Amino acid sequence: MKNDQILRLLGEVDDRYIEESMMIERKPYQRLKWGGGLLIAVAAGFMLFTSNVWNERIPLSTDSTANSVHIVDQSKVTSDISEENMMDMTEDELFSKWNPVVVRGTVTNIRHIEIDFNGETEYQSLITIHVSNVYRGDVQVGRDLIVRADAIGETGQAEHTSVISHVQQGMEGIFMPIPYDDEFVWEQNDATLRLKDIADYGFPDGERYLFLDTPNGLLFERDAYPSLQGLDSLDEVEDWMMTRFSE
Amino acid sequence: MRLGSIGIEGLYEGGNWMDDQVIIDWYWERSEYAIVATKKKYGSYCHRVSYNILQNREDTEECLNDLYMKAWESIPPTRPLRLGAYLTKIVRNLALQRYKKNHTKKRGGGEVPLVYEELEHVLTESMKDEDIVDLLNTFLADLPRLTRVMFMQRYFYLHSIQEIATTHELGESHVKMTLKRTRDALQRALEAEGVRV
Repeated sequence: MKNDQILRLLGEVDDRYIEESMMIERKPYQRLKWGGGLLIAVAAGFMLFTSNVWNERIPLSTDSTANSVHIVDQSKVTSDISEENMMDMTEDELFSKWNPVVVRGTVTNIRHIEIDFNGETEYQSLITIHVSNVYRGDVQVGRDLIVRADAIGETGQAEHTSVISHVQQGMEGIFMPIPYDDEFVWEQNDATLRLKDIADYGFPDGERYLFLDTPNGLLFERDAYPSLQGLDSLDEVEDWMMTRFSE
Repeated sequence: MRLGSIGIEGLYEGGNWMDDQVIIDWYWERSEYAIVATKKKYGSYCHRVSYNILQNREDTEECLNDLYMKAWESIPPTRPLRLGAYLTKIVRNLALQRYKKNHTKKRGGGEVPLVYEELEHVLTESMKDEDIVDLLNTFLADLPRLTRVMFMQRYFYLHSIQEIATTHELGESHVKMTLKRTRDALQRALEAEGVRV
């Protein structure tokens, strides 16, 4: 029977796809033995608390040599927005370089990851965007995009001046993530991370690739978009995008 | 022996699970620690994969024993790059074979009959196994990550729709719809390939 054949052959696909879809349960370590005395227990407890034993690990492809990527709590995240990504670009270049898709959607989830580059730790955030409208790109309405972004720290933890730091679950916006392919590789401390291993899309920087409908009004990097500087609402940005990309 | 220095109770090193390559080295050294470590790190997960298919604890335990035997016999000469995937492939095949043996006349309960039904019309052309596997790999590579993960969780691991929805914090109808669209896309890809071949 053909359904027999396809079910059997799904068991022979590339190991990468099998590994990445494992449902890893986050179980606390249950068999701590107390024979070593209180001091050892406290020390072990501290080590467990500060380690990643509790955290879900994201499987990486063989193209990545970074030690590990773990999901971590937001309280652990330190924001370190890289200025070197902020290369000067005109409005047209922002739309053309890396061919970002342009979609409207709602942030449905934000997770935070800790990447270990041979002992050097970097934090990033993975934002899930539920797409409600598409202005450019091969994306279907109703799809969820997982987008890598600069780390979003806890509110009040640090000065939040970047646009990305205002992203919150439930927030609507117009987003311009770039689709990752195998060429997008983060190199640091002699280790590599193929970005496609952690997300399908990414924001090249935390400033210029998103327009947010915040409680305080429309927020985006106005200096980067001279044509949009006077706009005050997401709907106005949407009208502008529709006009631009229908041409 | 590196195991002695950390204790078998916790196969953690530096806060992470012990590196698979260390366990594989033990297989190559013919050390029984390899089986102990495999059970410790992957035993419960392989149990879950097997139980998803068989829905029977006794059969699942036997399947796991067969798995450890197969792993011991096949490593070496094999040196898997991804031990978890290697083991789950074996245990899935063992469990499906056992399932078929147990259900020659009737399909039984659990997820298998449901998955059979869902996959019923996906493959309509007669194709060689290796062509289908190649096509499946290409098809999976082109899928968005979340869709691919959900597809594999359903049709490789045979997890229930409810489990998948809970894992990804999505509605069951969302998961069903994503799987349906993905199956339809796979069917189109297979048909196109079948015509070409």
